[in-house]
Amino acid sequence: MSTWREELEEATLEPARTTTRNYYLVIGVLLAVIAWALYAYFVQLRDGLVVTGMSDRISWGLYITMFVFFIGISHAGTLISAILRVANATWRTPVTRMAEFITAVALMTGALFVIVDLGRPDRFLHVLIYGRWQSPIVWDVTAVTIYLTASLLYLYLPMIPDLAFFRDRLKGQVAGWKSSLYRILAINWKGTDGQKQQLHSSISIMMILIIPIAVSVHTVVSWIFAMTLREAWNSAIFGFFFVAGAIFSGIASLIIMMALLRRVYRLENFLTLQHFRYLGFLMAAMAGVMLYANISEYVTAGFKFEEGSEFIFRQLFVAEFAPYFWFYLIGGLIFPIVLMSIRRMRSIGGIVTAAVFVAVAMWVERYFIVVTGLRAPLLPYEPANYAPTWVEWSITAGGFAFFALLVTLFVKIFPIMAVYEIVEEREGQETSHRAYEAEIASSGSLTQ
Amino acid sequence: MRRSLVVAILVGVAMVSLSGSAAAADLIIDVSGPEEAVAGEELEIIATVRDAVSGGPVEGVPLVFSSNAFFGGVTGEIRLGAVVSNNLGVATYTTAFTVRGIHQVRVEIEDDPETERAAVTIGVDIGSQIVGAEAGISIPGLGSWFITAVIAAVWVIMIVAALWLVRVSRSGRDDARADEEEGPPRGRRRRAFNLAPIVVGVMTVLALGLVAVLMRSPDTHHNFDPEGYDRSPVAYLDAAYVYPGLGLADIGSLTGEAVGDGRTLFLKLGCAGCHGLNAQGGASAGSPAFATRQWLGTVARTGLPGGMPAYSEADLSDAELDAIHAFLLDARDVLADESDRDDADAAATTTTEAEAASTTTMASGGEQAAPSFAEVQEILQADCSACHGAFGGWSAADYDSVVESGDNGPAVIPGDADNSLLAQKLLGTQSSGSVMPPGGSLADSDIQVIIDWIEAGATP
Repeated sequence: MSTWREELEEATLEPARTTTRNYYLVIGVLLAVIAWALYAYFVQLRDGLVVTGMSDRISWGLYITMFVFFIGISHAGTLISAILRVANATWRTPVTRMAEFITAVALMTGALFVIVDLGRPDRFLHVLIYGRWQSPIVWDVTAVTIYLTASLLYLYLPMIPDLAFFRDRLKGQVAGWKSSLYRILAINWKGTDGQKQQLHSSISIMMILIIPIAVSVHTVVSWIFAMTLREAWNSAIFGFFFVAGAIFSGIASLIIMMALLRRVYRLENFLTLQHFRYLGFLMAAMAGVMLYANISEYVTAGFKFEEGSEFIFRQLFVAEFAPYFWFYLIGGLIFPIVLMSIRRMRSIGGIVTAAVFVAVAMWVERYFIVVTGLRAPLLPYEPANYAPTWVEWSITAGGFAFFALLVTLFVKIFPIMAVYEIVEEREGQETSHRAYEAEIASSGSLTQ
Repeated sequence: MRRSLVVAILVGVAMVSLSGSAAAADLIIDVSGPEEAVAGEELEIIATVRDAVSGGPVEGVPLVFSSNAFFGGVTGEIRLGAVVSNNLGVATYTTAFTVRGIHQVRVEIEDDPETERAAVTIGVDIGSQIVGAEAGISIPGLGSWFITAVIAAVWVIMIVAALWLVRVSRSGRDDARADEEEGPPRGRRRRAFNLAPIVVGVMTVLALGLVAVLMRSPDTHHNFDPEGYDRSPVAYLDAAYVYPGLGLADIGSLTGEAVGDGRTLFLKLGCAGCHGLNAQGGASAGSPAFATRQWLGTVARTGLPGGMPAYSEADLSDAELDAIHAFLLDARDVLADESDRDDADAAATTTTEAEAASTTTMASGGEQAAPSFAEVQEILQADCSACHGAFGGWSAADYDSVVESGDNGPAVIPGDADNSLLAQKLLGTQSSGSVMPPGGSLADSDIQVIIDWIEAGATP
C-alpha cells in the first residue's frame, strides 16, 4: 500500500478517533447559542410574532432571509459533487464530501426557518391537509422535501464504501454505538465487483437526477417572491437569478468550510492550493454571471422606469438600503473578481477573504430582496419599516450555530473525505499512466 | 250610485298606478327609463308631472328618486336624489347603477306622504368593467394531474436508485453467509439490522404522502365553490385612481420640507382615504384644499358627523397641522390649474347646452317664475348642511335660519343680492373669510337660483 494512501486514510480516520478539548469547547459554545435561541423561540411561541419586527405590512424578515440563504448554500453540494461528477472533473474528489455535507446540513437549517417564521407552527399541518398545487407554499414543501431526500441519498451513496472502511478500521477503537452505526450504515459492503457495479448504477441515477431537482428548488424559492404582486419582485429572471446566486454562495461557503477543516484537521496534503484556486475561479465566474444578471435586471427596469420602479430604485440605490446594495454589488460581486484576477492574491488567504465577502454579501442580498419588496406601499401610506428584534437576531444566531453544530458533528462521525473515490480516481490515473508507459515501452518506436 | 263612483275612481287610480303613474291630489307622475342597462352606464330616469284635471305640465314640483338597494345579502331602499320639475313638468335624474340585478326606481313628491309612487323597473347587467379580473393562464388539459405525475416520476426514479442499495446489501450478506458456512459455526447468530429496505420504505412513504397532497389538491377547496354559490362578478367599481407612488419626483417627502411632511402626514393619518390622494376630494368626503388654517384646526380637533375623526393633540400636533395646511395650499394650486383646464374644455359644450335651453324657454313662451324657497333650501341643504348647522353659526335648517342666523348675520337682505352675505360667500365676493362651499364648488346654475330668489324678495 502506497504511503499517500495510508496518509489519506489516517487523515480521514483521525477526527473520528481523537477528540480534543477544543472540540468540546466549540460544541459547548454552539449549544449555548442554540439554547439561547430556543429561549427566544419559546418567547416567540408564548407571545406570538408580535415579539418580532415583522408586521402586517412587512411580513417577512430575517427568518425568510435565512431560509433563502441556507437553501442557497445547499447548492454547493450539487454543483461541486453532481455537476463536476457528471463532467468527470477529477480534481473534485477531495472536496465532494464536504460539499455534500453542506448541502444536507444547510437544507435542514433552511427548512427549519420556514417553521420558525410561522406564528402558529402547528398549522403547518394544514399545508398537508388543505394544500393545493396552485399555492407556491406547496411547491416549496414538495421541492424542499424531494431535495432533502435526494441530497441525503446522494450524500450517503458514495459514503457507503468509506463507512465500510470505518467499520473495519475503527472496530474496537471507538465507542460501541459508533461501531454499530458504521456497521448498519455500511450495509454489508464488501467491495466486491458486483457491489461496486450496483453502487455505481445508483450514483449514476442520482447524480443526474439531483441537478434538475436542485435547480427546481431554488427556482421555486424565487417564485415565492416573483409570483407575489410586488413591484420589486416582478422579474422573469428571478428563477435563474436565485439559482445562480445559490451556486455562488454555495461555493463561497464551501471554500470557507474547507479552509476551516484544513486548519483544524491538518488536511494540507489533500486540500491543496490548487483546489482553492479552482473553486476561486469558479466563484469569480459565478460573480460574473451574477453581475450580468444584476445588470440585466436593473437596466431593463431602470430604462423604462415605470411608476413603481422609482420607489424601488430610490430605496436600493440612494436611500435606506443603499449601503447594503452597494456593498453587495462592489464587495460581493466586483471585489472577488478583482481579487481573483490578481495573481498574488490567489493564495488561500486571498481566496478565503473573497469567499467571506461573497457569503456576507449574498446574505445581505437575500435580506434586502425580502424586505425592500415588502416595504413599498400598495396603498397611499408612507413606506413600512422593519427592524429585527432581539428575538429574531437570537434565533438567527441560533440558526448559524445549528448549522455549525451539525457540520461539526457530521465531520466528527462520518468520513470527512471520500477516501474510496480519491483512491479509485488516483489508482485509475496511475493505472492509465502505467498502461501508457507500457504501451510506449512495448511499441518502442516512440521512445527512440 | 255614489259607491260605484268611488269604486270606479279607485279602479282608475289603481290602473294608472299600475301603468307606472301615480296621482296625488291633483297631480299625476309618470316615470320612464331604459328597461335594461349595463352597470356603470349613465342613464336618465325621466319623470313628468301633469295636472290631473287639465293634463298640462306642472312646474316646480320637488320629486324624490329612490331605488331598492341590495348588496351582500342586505336589502333596503336608498334615496338617489331629488329634482324639481321644470317648466315642461319634466324632472330628469341621471344615475348609474353599479350592482347587477333588477332595480326599481320610485318617484314621489318630496315630503308628501299622500303621493302615490310611480316606478320604473330597470334590469342591470354587468358590462366590460367588472370587479374580479380574469387573470392568469389556463392551458387546456393541464391540471394537477400533470404536476402530480412529474413529482411521482421523480420519486419513482429516486426509489429505484435506493433499491440498488437493497441489492448492494443483499449481495454483501450472501457473501457473509457463504463465509460463515465455510468457517466454524458461531454461537450467537443474530439477524443483522438492515438499513437499505428502511431507506426505501421511508422514501416510499414520503413519496406517497406528497403525491397524495397534490392529488387531493382539487378536492381540498370545495368550500370555495359550494352548491348554488355564484362567483360571477356582481359590482362595478369606478375607474381606479392611479396612485402616483412616493417616487423620486416627490423628493420633498424626504427632505423635511413642510409640503412634503404635510403630504406624508396626509397619507399616514388616513386623510387621503376619504379626501383623495391629492386632497382633491373623494367619494365620501369633499376636498379640504381650500380650508383655512383655522378651519382645518377646528375640524381636525373636533371631527365632523359623517365620519371625520377628531385628532387629539397627542395624535396630531399643531406643528403637524401647519405642515398639512402647507400641503393643502400646495394642493390648492394644483387643483386650480386642473379646474382651469376643465373649464376651458367645458366652455364649448356649455354654449350648446345654453342654446338648447334658450330654445326650450322660447318654446314654452313664458317668463321664468322666481325660484321658491323650497328650491333654495334644497340646494343649501345638499351643499352646505354637511358642515353648517352641526357647528352652530349659520344654518340652512329653515327660512328664518337661512335669512337671519350666522355670526355675521343676517345672511340675506331680501331684494339685494349684492349685499347679501350668502350670495357674496357663494360668489367669492365677500370681504372676509373664504368662498363657500370650499373651493367654490357650487354649480353656477344653483348660485343663480339663490341670487334670483334673493332678488325676487327672498320669499319664504
